[in-house]
Amino acid sequence: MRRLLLLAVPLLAGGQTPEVSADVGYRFLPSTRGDWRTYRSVDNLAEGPRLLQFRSALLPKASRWLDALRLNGANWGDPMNSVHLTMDKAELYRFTFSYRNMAYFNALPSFANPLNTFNQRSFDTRQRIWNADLDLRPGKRLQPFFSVARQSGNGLGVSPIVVDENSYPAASGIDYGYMQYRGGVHFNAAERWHVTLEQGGGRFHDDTSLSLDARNLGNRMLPYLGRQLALDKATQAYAVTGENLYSSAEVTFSPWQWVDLTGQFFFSQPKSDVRFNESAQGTLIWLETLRFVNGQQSIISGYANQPRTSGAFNVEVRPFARLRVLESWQTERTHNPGSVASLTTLNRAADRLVWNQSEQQVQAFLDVTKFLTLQGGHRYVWGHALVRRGTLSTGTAQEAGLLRRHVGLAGFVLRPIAKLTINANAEVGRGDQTYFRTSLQNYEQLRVRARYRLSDAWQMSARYGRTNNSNPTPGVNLSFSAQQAGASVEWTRQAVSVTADYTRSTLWNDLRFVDPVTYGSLLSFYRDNAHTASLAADWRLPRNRAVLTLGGSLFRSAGSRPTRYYQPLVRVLVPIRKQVQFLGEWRQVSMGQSLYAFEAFGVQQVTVGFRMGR
Amino acid sequence: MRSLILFALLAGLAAGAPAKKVEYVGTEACLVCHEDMGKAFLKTRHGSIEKQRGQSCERCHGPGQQHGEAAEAKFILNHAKASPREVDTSCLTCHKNQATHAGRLHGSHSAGQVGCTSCHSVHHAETTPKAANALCATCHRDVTAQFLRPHTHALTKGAVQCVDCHNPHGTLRNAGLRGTARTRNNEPGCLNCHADKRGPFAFEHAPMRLEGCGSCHESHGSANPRMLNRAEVKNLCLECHSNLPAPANKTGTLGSVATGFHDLRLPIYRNCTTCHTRIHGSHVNRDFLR
Repeated sequence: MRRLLLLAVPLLAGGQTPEVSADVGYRFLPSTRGDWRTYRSVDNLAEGPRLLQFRSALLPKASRWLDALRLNGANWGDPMNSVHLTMDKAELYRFTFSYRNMAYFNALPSFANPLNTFNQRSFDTRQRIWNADLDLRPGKRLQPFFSVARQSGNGLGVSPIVVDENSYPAASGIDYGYMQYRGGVHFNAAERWHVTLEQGGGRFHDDTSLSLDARNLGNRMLPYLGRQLALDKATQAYAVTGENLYSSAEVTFSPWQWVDLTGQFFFSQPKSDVRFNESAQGTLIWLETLRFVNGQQSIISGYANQPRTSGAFNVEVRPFARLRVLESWQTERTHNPGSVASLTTLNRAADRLVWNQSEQQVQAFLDVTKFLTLQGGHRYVWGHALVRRGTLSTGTAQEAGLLRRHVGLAGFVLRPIAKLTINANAEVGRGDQTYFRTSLQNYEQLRVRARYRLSDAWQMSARYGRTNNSNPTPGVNLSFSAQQAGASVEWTRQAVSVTADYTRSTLWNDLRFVDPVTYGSLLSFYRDNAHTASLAADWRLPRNRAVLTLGGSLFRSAGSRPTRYYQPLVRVLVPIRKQVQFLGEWRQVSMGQSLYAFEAFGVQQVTVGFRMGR
Repeated sequence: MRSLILFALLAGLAAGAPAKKVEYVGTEACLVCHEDMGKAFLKTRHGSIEKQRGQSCERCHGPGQQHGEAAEAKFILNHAKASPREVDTSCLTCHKNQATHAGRLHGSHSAGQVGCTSCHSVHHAETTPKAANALCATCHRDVTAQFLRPHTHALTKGAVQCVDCHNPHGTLRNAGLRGTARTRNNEPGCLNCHADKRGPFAFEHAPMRLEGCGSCHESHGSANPRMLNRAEVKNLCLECHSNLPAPANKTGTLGSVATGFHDLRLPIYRNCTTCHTRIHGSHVNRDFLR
């Protein structure tokens, strides 16, 4: 293998020396205070040697197989790292590969039982994602392409086992993976016709399990029918396998210079097969007979299938130089029949989700002058869904949901002077039927952005956005409003550059619901009033070209979950030799939530190292 | 129907647009004056694809004969000064059929007059993931601010890119205000990474399919450890699972089902997902208990 590499590198390189640069260093955590689990759930950077980033490029002047090879990576040694590779040769191939390894740690309390200090839903897992794409004959009329991708996750965690009227936190083993592959061909005909045909598929597995070995009283603190429920030993295991085959076609056609037609068709049919096994021993209640039992066994097999067809058709017409009209139509039809059978109780159950939704939109863009473009349009969304009814609801097994929504679209882009751009768009939606109580029904959305380049050094921008949504249906009375306003300034000179940003955001939501026990009306209200600011100031020292960076970010919010989260930062980059620079960074991460004071933390991170290469 | 009639009328008006005369001079002629720019360009992916054809510059900038003879800028397409629509038209000549680009003309960037060259620097080399995120942040600072909250996807650490979830080139299918981008195999974009939530499940949780992950999760950043839209789980659930019968009967609103006799005063019932552990969908239990 090594000899092969030694032979391959000069062959590919064509005698060219690769360009390589890398940041290597060591991170210390000189000060850690507060809750370490929360820190890991939020930031999770630890001590140790790090390959902070690397970049390399090989651009051979004469090689039969390679025009360019680029390899980039970041954060090796940290919980989240990645590498990206691209290789290409004109009109022959283009290959890309990327790999990401991301740790997911979340051990924040769930509060099901405040007396139980053992967390009920925790994850200490890793997600690994890679994909490889190969395009052959890029730029030619006929371009085949192939791709393989895999996403997997595994690790440990805590999750409750639910046995009848109690739930018991148990150790979980998480292991799932999804392998996808696809291939197809692009046809390009005289820059007028483009057709892409693609066929793909995937295989999925999920072998997540739960186990509990010691006696556990669970989250139910009150006795049930006079006896304390408890679990002595339990196991729960899933064996889920799935597969998915899909086909897609995409066509773009420009018969004349003033018209573009595009169409898209998808059909996919994912399926799942499940084997589920659960055994529990302890003081348990068998709900169907209200008898106490010492053990339960459940073996279930299940199946689900989700044929999904969707299509889209779009026309763009440019009848005059200043006018552009877009008409688009799309539809999606999904059915999800599923069934399960218990091998222990011989019970069977089936379910079916049906969802058909379509959308039609017409939009026009008019360049009134060189400085002003107006846009306007209309969107109509309609759909129908069949969903199983709730366990205790009366009536048929399924209930129907309906969606009808008309949306008006408007906006403009204004450039009164070359240095100023103002962009605004608005949507006003009116619906008489909507799927869920919290869905968009009668809503208005406005977004305005302005950018002004005062000079080559100064640039400013401001933005405002607001969304209102209400559902006046008796018994729902939803009222939602979110607003965001912000401004940023960039000042760039040869020696100094400053970027500062401030955002003020508010969100309020009121919705009444019925208390399941008293049947009284309760208010679910959510408030979030937040200030977010960030700063990055770079100062390049004139003598030795060292760079000093000051900045960081702060987030403070009040309302339903008051939070403060600060990340101040200082960084220096000092040239030592022609191709070596010293780098140092100090960063503090601190967080606190007044309603969850025990989760507060503050951690200082110091990283020192070197940037090497050209 | 009215819109179709409108199209027919517009199509009739536009028929007969005259064809333009094209005269190419070749890349070498361009390099006589634009040597530095040309050398940098030939190192890029575009350069490597086009250099064997000998018209690498004119493929994008248009025929250069008149420009070369008169030595005047007005006779050549300058993407830096052209209108976003002209830039789009120029780039989409080749890129229209790429799966990622086919929806460009229907995307919000196109609608907002953000041309291809607002983000892409055709004359320079590729960007790294962190640089790509910074590029999005130059305009979408409101979204960047959301990533400065404590619980977010790992965007600021460079492990996740904006383009992992969003297709900046637009999509042929309108994602809608609460919709999510679609994967190549026609699934919600979130499932690209969260494959364990993909199903299909024997017992689906309808909002996940009908309105996407955004109906419960704030994907850009939240103060809630599970990135939920509400401070507490029970509020999120009970807003839909209220015992009100009226909406279900009269307006076709789903989810107005009974929540049983859960006493919300007891901690065990205040965090719904402690028992309803498979809330994204269950393979074996209709109440998502296992």
